[in-house]
Amino acid sequence: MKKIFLALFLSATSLFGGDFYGIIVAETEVENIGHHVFFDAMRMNRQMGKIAKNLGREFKQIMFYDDDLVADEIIQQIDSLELKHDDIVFFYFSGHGQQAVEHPDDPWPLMKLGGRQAINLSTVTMKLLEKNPRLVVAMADCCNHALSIDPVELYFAFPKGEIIDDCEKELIQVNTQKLFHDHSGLIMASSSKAGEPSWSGMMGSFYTLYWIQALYHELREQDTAWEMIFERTTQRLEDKQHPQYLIIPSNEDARLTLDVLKN
Amino acid sequence: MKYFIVALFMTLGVFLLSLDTTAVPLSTDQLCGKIGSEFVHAIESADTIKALKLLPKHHKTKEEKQGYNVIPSEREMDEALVRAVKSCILNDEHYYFDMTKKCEFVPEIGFIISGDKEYTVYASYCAKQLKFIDGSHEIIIDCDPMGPLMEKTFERAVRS
Repeated sequence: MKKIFLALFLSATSLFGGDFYGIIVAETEVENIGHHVFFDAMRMNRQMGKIAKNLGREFKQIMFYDDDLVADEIIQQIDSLELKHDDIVFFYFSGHGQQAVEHPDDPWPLMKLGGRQAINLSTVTMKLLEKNPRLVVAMADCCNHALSIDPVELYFAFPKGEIIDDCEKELIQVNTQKLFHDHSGLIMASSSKAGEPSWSGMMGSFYTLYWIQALYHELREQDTAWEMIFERTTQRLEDKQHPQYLIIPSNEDARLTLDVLKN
Repeated sequence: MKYFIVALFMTLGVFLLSLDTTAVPLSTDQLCGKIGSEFVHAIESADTIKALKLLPKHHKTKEEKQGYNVIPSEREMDEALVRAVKSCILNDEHYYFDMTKKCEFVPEIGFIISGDKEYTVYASYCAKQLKFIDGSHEIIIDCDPMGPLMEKTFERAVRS
């Protein structure tokens, strides 16, 4: 009975719940970390696909990588998105980054796009919020400046072949709904605070790896929350890298907050 | 007695030499593994090193090298400074070999090591990274453990 209810619930949200947009901007050709970024992009794309599936929403994937990384084209594509009120948008960036120097109070990073181009995470987030979707999740895994830290030991805890029983499948779907469908407004995150670097290794970027691990575990908890995912990620990075996140349940309040940072 | 005094002075000399903190430490396998033993050997055996000051792209200068603007005030360093620069570069303890920062490498100073062929090392103080250039092969290594020693030592090479 529970299963039938869940199936009905999922199909209902799929009918009335809008689409799930996954926008990935990955600096895969960048000097030194290109292959790390490639792993990040592949992993996040897979995660987004899973999230969309568990939400019962159509996954609309938009990827910018290699030679596609032209700031104007990315902004143009975002501008041309026709989002419905109940859509969910997940924006993810991996690549080089630095502090948003032109707005000293903006704690969110400037995302580099190869060459001399760059976009602020807060600018992209604002553009997405202005389209009034149900929820915007915006995340950047990149440096937010430079700081001396010790190496991070990576821990890979992903099961090789995921064996999910029906109960667990239901739990994952319910938790995914809680995280994405039951939230509105803005979820914003970056892999380091202003003035600090982010790190990557042979297997990818540490923040992205730990964030995916945290999501994996949180989706299997009896109760879940965005805060827990970000806190778990922070905990795993120990004191070596200091990520930040912001959760604002109203689109209007989120826009006001981002606006204040730039003035 | 005369031989005893000579032996005493020789022993003292050896002892004082061993206290020379500017002696170039042996490079370890990790740096060789990353940049190649020929590159490491070229740095080890270099008698002179030329320093270059580099500026970001928007600074207009006469010469461009490796995509960066290079101030053409190359000059040779004295022996003590060459040893100090080598001590900074040739030490595995000064690097992270298994991880790297996700920020752009913007060089602020460069060193040219000439031997059988020319090798270049660029340094970025803000990213705390070194870029080793051997012909078309380039590699960036994070050198955070070097701490303030890098800027302090390297800047002496271009300060007039």
